[in-house]
Amino acid sequence: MESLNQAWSFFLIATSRFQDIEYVFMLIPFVLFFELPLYFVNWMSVFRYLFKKSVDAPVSFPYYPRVTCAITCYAEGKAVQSTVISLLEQIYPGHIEIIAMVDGVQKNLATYQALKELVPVVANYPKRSLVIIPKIQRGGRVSSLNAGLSRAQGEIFLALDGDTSFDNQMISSAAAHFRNPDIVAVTGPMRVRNARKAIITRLQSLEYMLIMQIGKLGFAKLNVINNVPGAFGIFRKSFIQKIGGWNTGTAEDLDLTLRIKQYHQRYPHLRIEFEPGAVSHTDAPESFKDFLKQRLRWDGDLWYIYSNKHKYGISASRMGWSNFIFLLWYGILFQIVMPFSIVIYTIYMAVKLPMLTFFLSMVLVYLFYLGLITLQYILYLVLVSDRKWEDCQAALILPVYPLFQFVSRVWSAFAILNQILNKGHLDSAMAPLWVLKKGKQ
Amino acid sequence: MLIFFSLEKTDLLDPYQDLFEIYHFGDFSDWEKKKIIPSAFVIAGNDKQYTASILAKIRRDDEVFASLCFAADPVAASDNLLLDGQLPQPPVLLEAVNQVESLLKSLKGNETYITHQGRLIKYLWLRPDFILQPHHEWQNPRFYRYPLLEALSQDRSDSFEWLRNLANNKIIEPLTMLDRQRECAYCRSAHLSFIDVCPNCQSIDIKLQASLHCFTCGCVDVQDKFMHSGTLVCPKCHTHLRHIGSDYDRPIENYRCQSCSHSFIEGDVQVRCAMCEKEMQPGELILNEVHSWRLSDKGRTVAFRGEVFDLSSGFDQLDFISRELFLHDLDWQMVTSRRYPNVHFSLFGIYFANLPDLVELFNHARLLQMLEAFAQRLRSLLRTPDLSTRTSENMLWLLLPNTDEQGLQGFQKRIESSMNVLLEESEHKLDFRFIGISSQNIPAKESAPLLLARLAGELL
Repeated sequence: MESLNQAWSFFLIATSRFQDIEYVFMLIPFVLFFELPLYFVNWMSVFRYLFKKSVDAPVSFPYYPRVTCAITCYAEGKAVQSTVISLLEQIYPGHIEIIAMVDGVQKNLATYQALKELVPVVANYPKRSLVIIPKIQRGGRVSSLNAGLSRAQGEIFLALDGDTSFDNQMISSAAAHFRNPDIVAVTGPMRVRNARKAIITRLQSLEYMLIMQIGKLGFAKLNVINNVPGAFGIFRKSFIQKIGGWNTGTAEDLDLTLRIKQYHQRYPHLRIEFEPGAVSHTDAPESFKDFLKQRLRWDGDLWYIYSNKHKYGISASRMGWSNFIFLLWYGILFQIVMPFSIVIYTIYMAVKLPMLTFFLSMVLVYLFYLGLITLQYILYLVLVSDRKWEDCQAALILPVYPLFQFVSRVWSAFAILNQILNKGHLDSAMAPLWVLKKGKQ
Repeated sequence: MLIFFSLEKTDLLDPYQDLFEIYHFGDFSDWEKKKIIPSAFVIAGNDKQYTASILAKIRRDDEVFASLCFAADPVAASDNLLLDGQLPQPPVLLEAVNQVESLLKSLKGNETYITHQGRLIKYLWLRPDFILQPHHEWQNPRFYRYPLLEALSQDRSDSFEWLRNLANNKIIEPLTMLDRQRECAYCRSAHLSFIDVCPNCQSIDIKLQASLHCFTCGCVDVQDKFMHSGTLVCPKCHTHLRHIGSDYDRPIENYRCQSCSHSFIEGDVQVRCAMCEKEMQPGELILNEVHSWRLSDKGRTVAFRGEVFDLSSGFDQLDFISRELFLHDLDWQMVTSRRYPNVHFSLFGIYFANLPDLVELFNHARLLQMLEAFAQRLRSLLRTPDLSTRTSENMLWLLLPNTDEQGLQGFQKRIESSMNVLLEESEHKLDFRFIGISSQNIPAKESAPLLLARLAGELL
């Protein structure tokens, strides 16, 4: 009890007495400087969107351009069928052309066979067509996407994953944005469809709701969206063709997003939109080991993209100030620097403070994050969620979530280190090594 | 000698003058007046109709229908089947003519070639590697026709019907199957259309109708009822259906009749014939296999021996039973006689070794008469319970119940004496052999098929 008092007074002193530099330095990078303002700005933007949406009269224009859905398939097997069927099921009066690229088809015959089984099914759907492109030589996701892009006939190009399925209004709500010629890319919420499988998928599901859904919605309205995910990106085909399609290397989605952003100064009206109605459902890793593997790649790729590929591209003179500041803040500080500061800070505290005090400080930090997450979760559930009942079930996992966040941040630091020291981007499942090596190192 | 049909004078046949005598005619009727029988006909000219009419008249003629016919210019595809090809070089032509002439010499019984079956056999005999090809023609009610058969039958019979008869008589044999088509049960036309109709009222006005199944309340209804300003909303529980598989699915894809509102999964299929306009079920259609044909061994036999008949038909009055039944009864007799030593039976075999060769010596009709007379005598020797069968054309078997060794010898004597009559009639050329065994001499382990095989082996 005494120790708790001690920790609490420490906490109070740290937040009230700025002259106690030592502790302030410990806490500031943690939450106040990096996170809270980011959350605040994000939520303000979400509120503005929600307010506008409730005030604006709903309009829909009869704009139904031809749409091409490029599905990159690898070893999905039968699961690819649900992706294609969910696209056939779209309520969209225009033509939907589905191009399924099977990479390394000799190794992935089950996927190819599953797609061929669908050919007679497609005939039952009016205005839908299916093209299967078997790629004999495995070339990776980028080569699949570019192959699809070269064959696409639609005005709008959707880059999709073989293990992702979609709500039946996805295309109609996403395509409507392209009526505005300034919009070059659209993305939408991604939901974890195997949330019930395990605790780890449940946690990721909550993370997708709060980070991907709320985070992207808020940032998109400020026109500073961080990334158009590779599993679910919707693009204006002419624009993507003009900028040369996808580029070799891993994290081709972040690379493309940054390249689009680099046109902002030249074409200030360009926008990347987030459409809450275009919902996709994807599978999250079901074991802790797979989760760590996925994050090792994702977080490592951040460093690869920021420090290698776009070393010179991240500048206000290309991206515009708002994107530049956002990228420094979110991309560099939040995603790259903060994981390290957390690790260093925790070690520092553990060394510096008495054991019990350290432990209780950690409890306080935990409670602070729990409160923050709970608040966000409630706001999300009340204001944004499109499947309120289903999302209610995530409440049970809330107490574990701060721990999960802590673990994933520590892992993120490890992933970035791995990338810096080990060139982890060459160890990717997205493309064979010989292709990755051709990219800019 | 060559007969040259052409409307214009050409020097086309000049190189052939050394080898052949050439007569030139402009019209078929000019030739008909003279009736010179040539080694080959040659038709020249780019007028395809002219070529076709001359060719048709040649093939329909009673005397020269089987003659070699060559064209100097390209002809229509259906006429090509009546031709022997394009006009070859003089030495090749001479060789072809010589071959036909030698084959003509071995052809027997020229008088039989007035029937159209005889004409076909002669035509095919003179062309050893000839393949009878059908010609595809979409305007034809059956899609295929055999121009050669039409010409040789002088258009008097349905060529498919005739083909069937020829095939049944084994005069020709199929070579490759070219098509299998279904034909109208009434007029045999292959111009059919297939229509899906309502199984309830037979109306053709049917429409595919998609139904959705809402998982929340279980409501199943047609998709139109779910559509609500661009989204799917369950008409019963008002749930917003967003994702197939988790919110809703498609339980049935069915048809709906616009006339009687009947809902069904699969419509009836009705066939309508475009020629006779009759309607029928697909199961009623007649299957027609279209083949290419060639002359069979039997056809060739007919050609060089004259008319054929089935020699074994001479034994027809013997009331044969089937081989299987015979073996079964023989087995039963063998088992019975082993169990009851007082039960006896005998087996008797008659083998005509040179029956096919006798056809050469005697007139067919006479040989048949002889065999029939023998069969009649044999029949009078048999008692009511005696059984007979035939394992090949010239191998007869008799099962004589209640006949022991002695009885068998008596039977053999009687049959030999009646055979003597046949022998005299055949000028002692007939080679026949007997074998008999009575139940006492049959080894205990032998079965009926083994016994027959062993005895037949001894006869050969």
